[in-house]
Amino acid sequence: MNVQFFVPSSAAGSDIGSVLRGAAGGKVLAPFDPALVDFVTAFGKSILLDRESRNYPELVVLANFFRPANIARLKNELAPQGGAACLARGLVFHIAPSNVDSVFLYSSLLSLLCGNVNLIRISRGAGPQLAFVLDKLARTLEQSGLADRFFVVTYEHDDAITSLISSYCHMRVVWGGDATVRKIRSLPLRPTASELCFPDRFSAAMLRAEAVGGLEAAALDELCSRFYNDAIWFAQQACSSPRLVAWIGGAEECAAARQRFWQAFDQVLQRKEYENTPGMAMDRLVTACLAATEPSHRETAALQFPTRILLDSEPLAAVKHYHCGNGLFYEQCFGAVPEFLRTMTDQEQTLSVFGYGAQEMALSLGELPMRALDRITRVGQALDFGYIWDGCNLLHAFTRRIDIQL
Amino acid sequence: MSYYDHFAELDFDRPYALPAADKQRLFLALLNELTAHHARHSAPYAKIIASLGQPLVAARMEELPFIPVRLFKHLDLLSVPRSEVFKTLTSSGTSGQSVSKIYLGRDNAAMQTRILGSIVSSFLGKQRSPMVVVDADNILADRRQFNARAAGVLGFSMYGKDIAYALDPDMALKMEALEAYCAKYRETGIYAFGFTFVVWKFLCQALERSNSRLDFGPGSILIHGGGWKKLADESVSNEVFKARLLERAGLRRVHNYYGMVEQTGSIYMECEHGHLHTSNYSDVIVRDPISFKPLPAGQEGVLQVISLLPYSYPGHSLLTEDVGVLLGEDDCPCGRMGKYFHVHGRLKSAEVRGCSDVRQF
Repeated sequence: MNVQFFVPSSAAGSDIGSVLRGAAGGKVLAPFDPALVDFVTAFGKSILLDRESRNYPELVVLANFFRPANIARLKNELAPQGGAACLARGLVFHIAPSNVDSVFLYSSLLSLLCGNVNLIRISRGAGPQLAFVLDKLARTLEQSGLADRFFVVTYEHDDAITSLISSYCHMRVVWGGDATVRKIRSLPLRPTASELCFPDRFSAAMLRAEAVGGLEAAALDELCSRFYNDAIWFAQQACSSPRLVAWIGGAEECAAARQRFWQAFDQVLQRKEYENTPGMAMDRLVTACLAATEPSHRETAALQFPTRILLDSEPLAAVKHYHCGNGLFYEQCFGAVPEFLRTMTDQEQTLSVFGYGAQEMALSLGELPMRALDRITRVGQALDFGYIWDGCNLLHAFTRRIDIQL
Repeated sequence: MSYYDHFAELDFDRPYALPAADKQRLFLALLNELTAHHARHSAPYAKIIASLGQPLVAARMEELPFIPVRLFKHLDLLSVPRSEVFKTLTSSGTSGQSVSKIYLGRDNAAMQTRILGSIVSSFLGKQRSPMVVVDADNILADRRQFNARAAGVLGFSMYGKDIAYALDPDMALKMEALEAYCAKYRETGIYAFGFTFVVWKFLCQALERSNSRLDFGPGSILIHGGGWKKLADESVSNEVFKARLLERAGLRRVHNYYGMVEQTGSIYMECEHGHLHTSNYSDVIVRDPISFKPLPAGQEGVLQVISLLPYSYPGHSLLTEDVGVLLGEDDCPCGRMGKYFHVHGRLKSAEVRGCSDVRQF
């Protein structure tokens, strides 16, 4: 079977079957075993110390996430409770999205810290950022003595290989579009294995019109800068990037706040160098045209960057699937928070909020339809990674409890 | 008076005869009529152009409303009652799964054939020539696979006689039969037709691999189309394409055409000077790929293609995802009136990133 090993370097040319037999026959380490913590810290450091990392801001964020103080905090999260012992799950098979994003590194490194053996499938031919990361991983692994616990491989889409790995692993983690998740889910796992899937999601920002209207110029500019970071950084392709802006307030209040906010946002854009390719412009135009045919379409408020489309205050339905990111926002206005929350579906992931406090939000969550919404953050933190992702505590998911009643 | 009656003003025998001023006057009148017709009869079309802030009546060609060609993959766009749809053209595009659906009324389909004939005949001459189709000899037999390629073969076969197919069902060159055909018709002048990459891979490269030659003769002409993508990937330019076909197959005159299923009929033919030409039935505007503002000659941008033909579906003015450059108007050394231009290739599609992917695992 044609499986190419990128990491560790010692595994180059190995046979996937024998690696799987070896990995499944090994032992787990205790969660946050010092050797694991040392490796992950060293990996983070090696990124920060290399000047080339300045070209990859998302890797700098990743490295900072795995700094020693934060790892200590994660360790506390997993502190044993009651009489149950906490152990790693075993062999974890991670499937990264085809356009590799740093997010799969978070989950696979967390899984490693939890004591698991990890095998990660990435797509072939990814860019310089991935080459940079793989090089750092290989070097750090070589010095750590953990080379048999972290494998990064690639292979052409092949159900036979995916099935083979799935028959060995104790847990499968799938990042990818709905089609990928559906496809992988059709391939059986060991009966005792568990699975985590991270499919397509949709995220929104919710802004209180009254609060935006009352901001001083400097504070408004800061809000717009934070919103820029959430939405424009990765051309709106991250699943937690807001694609909808929901305004809460009276009709006139919302209209005034919208005008004020987008004017200030244009000022921010003028200071930034953001990506706006012809391909992105064409995608936005197509989305704008498709959205215009929907009954909920009210007006296309702006066609250039960003494209803005005002929709009626009803569930987004089909129009959601027309959204392609790339600097396009749907806008809706609602009289109150519950009205907006009630329009959500199981597709909604992150809600980045301005003008409401944690308690207020917590009180409104009862309005949510089943399975809707996984995360509420402040505007500016939509892209931050947390160990609770898509509503799931990854530290818990990557470990198991052995209940001891003696 | 039906819409196509306006075409009486145009001379079918001279499809490259309209100078810019006459063309602008005629085109604005007809295209504004088309826009009004489509806006009246296709609700999605009306909503789209209203949402884009495009005027219903254009005072200049640049003001003519346009919609992205990709919409035909996502929406059912038609401007006649479904009962009047005579046939539906489909094409798989480069974006993979989705397929364009073009709804043709009887008049519209007939006019496509007529205009294609007008354009092609101006290159081939009025008399039907012996014809070689550079494609599999069963391409029209299998109706289940009656795709855009088969439709193209059928369309272009109307201008040939005693038609021979160059390839067997396995796409292998029928060398002996072709040699005999060339021997028989070399002096008459042979008309060859094929899709660009089929001609390249299964005629030219096949001849090169077997180190053999054909001679289609001094009066031979090849018309080919369908896109350069596969050849561009192999860095094969139009010049190389022509030179190698001349050397291996003795094809003297080689004309590319640019066209799409969304505007069948009013194709853009390449002249003797290597320029693609608008005809009396088509126009082209190059637009900035980000602002979509019109660009002057010499600047590369995305192509807006304009055709007088689409009446049963709102396809008279489309923003393509092809990139090209306008070279001039009415002053090509070949003597044809109209704009002339180059197509450089496809727009680079936006990158898919982040935690979701659209590629099938």
